[in-house]
Amino acid sequence: MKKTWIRTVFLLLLALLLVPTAYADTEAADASDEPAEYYRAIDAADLLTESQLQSLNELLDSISERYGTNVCVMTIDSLEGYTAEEVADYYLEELYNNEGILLLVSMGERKWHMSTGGDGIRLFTDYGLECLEDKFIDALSAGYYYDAFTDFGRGAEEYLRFEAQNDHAFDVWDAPKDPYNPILCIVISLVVGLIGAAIYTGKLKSELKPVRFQPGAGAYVRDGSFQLTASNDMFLYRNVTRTVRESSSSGRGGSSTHTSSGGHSHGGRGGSF
Amino acid sequence: MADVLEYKCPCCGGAIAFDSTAQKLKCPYCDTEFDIGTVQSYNDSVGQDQADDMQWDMSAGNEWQPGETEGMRVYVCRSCGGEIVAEETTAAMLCPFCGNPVVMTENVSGMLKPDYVIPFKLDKKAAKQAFMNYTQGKKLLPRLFHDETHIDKLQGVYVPFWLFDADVAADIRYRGTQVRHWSDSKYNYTETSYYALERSGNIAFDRVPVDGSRKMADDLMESIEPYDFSAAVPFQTAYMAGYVADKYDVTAEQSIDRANERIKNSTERTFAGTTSGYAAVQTEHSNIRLFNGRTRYALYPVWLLNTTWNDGKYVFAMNGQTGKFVGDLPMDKSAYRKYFLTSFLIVAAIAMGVTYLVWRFLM
Repeated sequence: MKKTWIRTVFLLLLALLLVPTAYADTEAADASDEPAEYYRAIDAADLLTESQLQSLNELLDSISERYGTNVCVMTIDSLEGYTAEEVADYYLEELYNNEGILLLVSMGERKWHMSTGGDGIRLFTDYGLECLEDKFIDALSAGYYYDAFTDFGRGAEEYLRFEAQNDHAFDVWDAPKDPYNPILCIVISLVVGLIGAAIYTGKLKSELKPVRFQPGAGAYVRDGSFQLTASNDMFLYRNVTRTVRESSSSGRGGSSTHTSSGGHSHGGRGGSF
Repeated sequence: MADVLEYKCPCCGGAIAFDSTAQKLKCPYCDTEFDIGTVQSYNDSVGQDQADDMQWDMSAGNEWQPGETEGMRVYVCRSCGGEIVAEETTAAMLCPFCGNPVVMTENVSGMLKPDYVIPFKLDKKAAKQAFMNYTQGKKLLPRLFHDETHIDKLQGVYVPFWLFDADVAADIRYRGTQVRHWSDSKYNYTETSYYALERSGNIAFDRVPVDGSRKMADDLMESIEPYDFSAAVPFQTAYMAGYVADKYDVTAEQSIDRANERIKNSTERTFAGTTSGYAAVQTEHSNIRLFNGRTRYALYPVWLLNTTWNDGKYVFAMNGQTGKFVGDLPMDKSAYRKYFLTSFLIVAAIAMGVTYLVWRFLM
């Protein structure tokens, strides 16, 4: 049912916007096994001028071709009740052979989502996506859509270049080091010092006050008298609580994935703007 | 037709009503879901909860034989009211509790004859030595305490104890919790599972002692436990030579509560030791029943040491059989500040080095 609806939107979009690109069969051939047939910037929500759209397409194409993947942007008016993740995953699969990264922006709900698929999952780690978000989210929120999308494209290029140079995708451990913060270190050390001193002197103090009541009568249990005659462990109930995970930078790196309704694996990150 | 029954929620104790055709049920107060079978078994178990049955046969102590107490006298301290029993020939005695002179008042009467006595094994010299050793190596003890403290009184005292023996049968229900953590891409999950752990069994206690003297601090007496009862002998006045006995002023009946408390605690702990695989185990209900509960009256040897230092009185006790020595000591506040500051500086300096190295090499 969901599929049917998405397909309708998809066909509408195709009819309105999608024109096979001139160089689709040639230069984009190395992007993936099958050539991309559609523009890498699709502005269904009409946020960009003609010339902006054209130059954005040129930018995304040149990046995509240089690094052999797809870096794409799509704007739509509404998610029509689906999640941004579902829609972004769907278009990445249907339009771009599920290869690369797609930034989907829906104006109706003011939601955005980056979906990664294929080798894109490896190229853009959770931490990479988090850093990529920082590059465009302010401009997107402020309504500078062209700037936001070019920042997204250049940011994606930065991490693709990093991967090409370092043989591994940009991840937590590649983050620039925080400058040494002497105040924080001193504060931590003082707190640790106070705790350590309290434990040590607490131990010395307790040597002076050994007089206390016995908790039980364990010393007077008759040897061998303890016998268990019945033992039964009965499950009663369980509670599950959940807390939102902290951002992936505090995690262990890598890319977390989910499976789309189309059965493909995707990485991604999304939010509101 | 479905039977409508009312049960108690295992989570919050609220009443859950349900009809027997339902498969699951939910507590209307805390929203916890249960299997019907679980709630039924749990309620069956709770329904059988009973109060403790801790009856004792109070037959401690004997009547004195005619003439047995002839050489014994009761002495009373005019200062603190302490009453002690000693041989008539004992001259110029000082109260072991406060160090003031005591006066002979009457013949031994109105008190029971002890069933047992553990004779003193360690003498006065050993007690003095134990005190010396005890004040060594304690960093916060005022330096001068060791040199200046004045031993006002060092007296071997037979302290009256009520001994409680019993076979125990117990049904105990614990609440056990297991905790499991996992995560998906968006959330961290914590699952807490609750179990009713039922344990039934038997255990026996021999000669749980309760101090029968009000003058002796109960916590001080419990601190020098345990005694080895295998060295106990039937009481004879001959063992009193050179020592005094404190006259009991807490009856066996008045000591029952403390004995019950200790027996109950130890039973619950021992049974809890048979639960495993739980993050936490708490006693929910315990039913303790005593069989063959009987009491006896014994005198245990204690070296009692009173000292004065800086106008403060300090009382120490040594187990006259095992030599275990305890007593609270004064603290040197300036030494405390010195040690606190020194350890603070050392730990803080190490922590600072570690935080720098962690930042430098690991971040």
